[in-house]
Amino acid sequence: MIYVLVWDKEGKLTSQNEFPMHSFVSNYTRVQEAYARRIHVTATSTTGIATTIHGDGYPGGVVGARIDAAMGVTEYGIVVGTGSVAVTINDTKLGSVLAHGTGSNQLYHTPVFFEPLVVTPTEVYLMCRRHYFNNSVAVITITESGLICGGDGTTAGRILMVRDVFPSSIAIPIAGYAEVRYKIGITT
Amino acid sequence: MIHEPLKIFYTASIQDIDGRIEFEEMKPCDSLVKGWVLWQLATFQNYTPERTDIFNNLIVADTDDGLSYNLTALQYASTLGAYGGIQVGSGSTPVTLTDTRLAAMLPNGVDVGMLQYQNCGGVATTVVGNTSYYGITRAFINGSGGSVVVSEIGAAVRTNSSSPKMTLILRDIVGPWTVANTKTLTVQYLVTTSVI
Repeated sequence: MIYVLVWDKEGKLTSQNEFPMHSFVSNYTRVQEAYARRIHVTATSTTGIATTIHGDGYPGGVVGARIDAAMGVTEYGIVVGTGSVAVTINDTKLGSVLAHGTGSNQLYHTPVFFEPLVVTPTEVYLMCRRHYFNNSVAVITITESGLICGGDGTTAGRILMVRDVFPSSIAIPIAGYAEVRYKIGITT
Repeated sequence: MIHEPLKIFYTASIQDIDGRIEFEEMKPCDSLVKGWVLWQLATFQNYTPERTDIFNNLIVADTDDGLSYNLTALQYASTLGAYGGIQVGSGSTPVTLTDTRLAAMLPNGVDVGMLQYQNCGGVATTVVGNTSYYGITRAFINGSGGSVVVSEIGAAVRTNSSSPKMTLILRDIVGPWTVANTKTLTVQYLVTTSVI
């Protein structure tokens, strides 16, 4: 599931959205395959180049599948954008990813945060989240989100694993902020 | 069960010594267990939470072990006779989300009730239409001199760098399948994702 929550500048929750993830793209299986089989697998990066996932750990293997991006990093982690083109299995990037910053159509990206694994009698899941502050001078509307992993460890070698276009656009008011959560898990 | 965009299937076949297929089956897996989520978490942030391995040992959290040299591999350490990767067993206890091992894993060997675990193999990522998949496969040879019954299958990833601790990620009740002496059981897991 994807959850998108929005707060205004007073801290009042103004919008709650949740919808199922539809779109693990083919690079997700490539990343998984690299680690499951402990091999090198080639994928197309978000910049359109061939990049290698080092599932055996050499070199840069500790980067490969990571989405735990630090503050301000938008080349991987949980990312949001303004694209609306329908998702395809071969997508390698968001339609139009939003940059980090305070300028026009820029959002201030906090680090990706992971909650502890949740285990209940009926489900087991992980939850990761990221906040996006709108410190620009205009409302920013987001229409898509994705999970991009570290890939080969270079800025040009990041790999899109998940992309979803929202059922409807979500506005982040001036001085407000949004939180995007991904819940990935299993149920009985 | 997991939501529809990501599905896992297993295929199983039993072949005679000449390679003739005597039995074949393909079904969706309904039985991802806690370890699968833990594995995702480990790879997403290079951190492996506390877990219980397939031999019921409690493994402490590793702050830098999600993706390290030895880790997270279904196939690594799944060499001849090793228990990482695909496993088979004779248990029939219903699957629960928190299962950490097969109910009764069959040992590797040629004695009564044993199967010879071969190397795990793989199927490279393939895209067909709006679906992408990869696979892991393993053969089990019956050299025990008698029939061996398999009623559960599973898969485990290696989640510890200092010793080969294995975490179960899948378990399914199957068959039961009777593997006669000299016959080979081959089990394959296909991990598929679809844009829907």
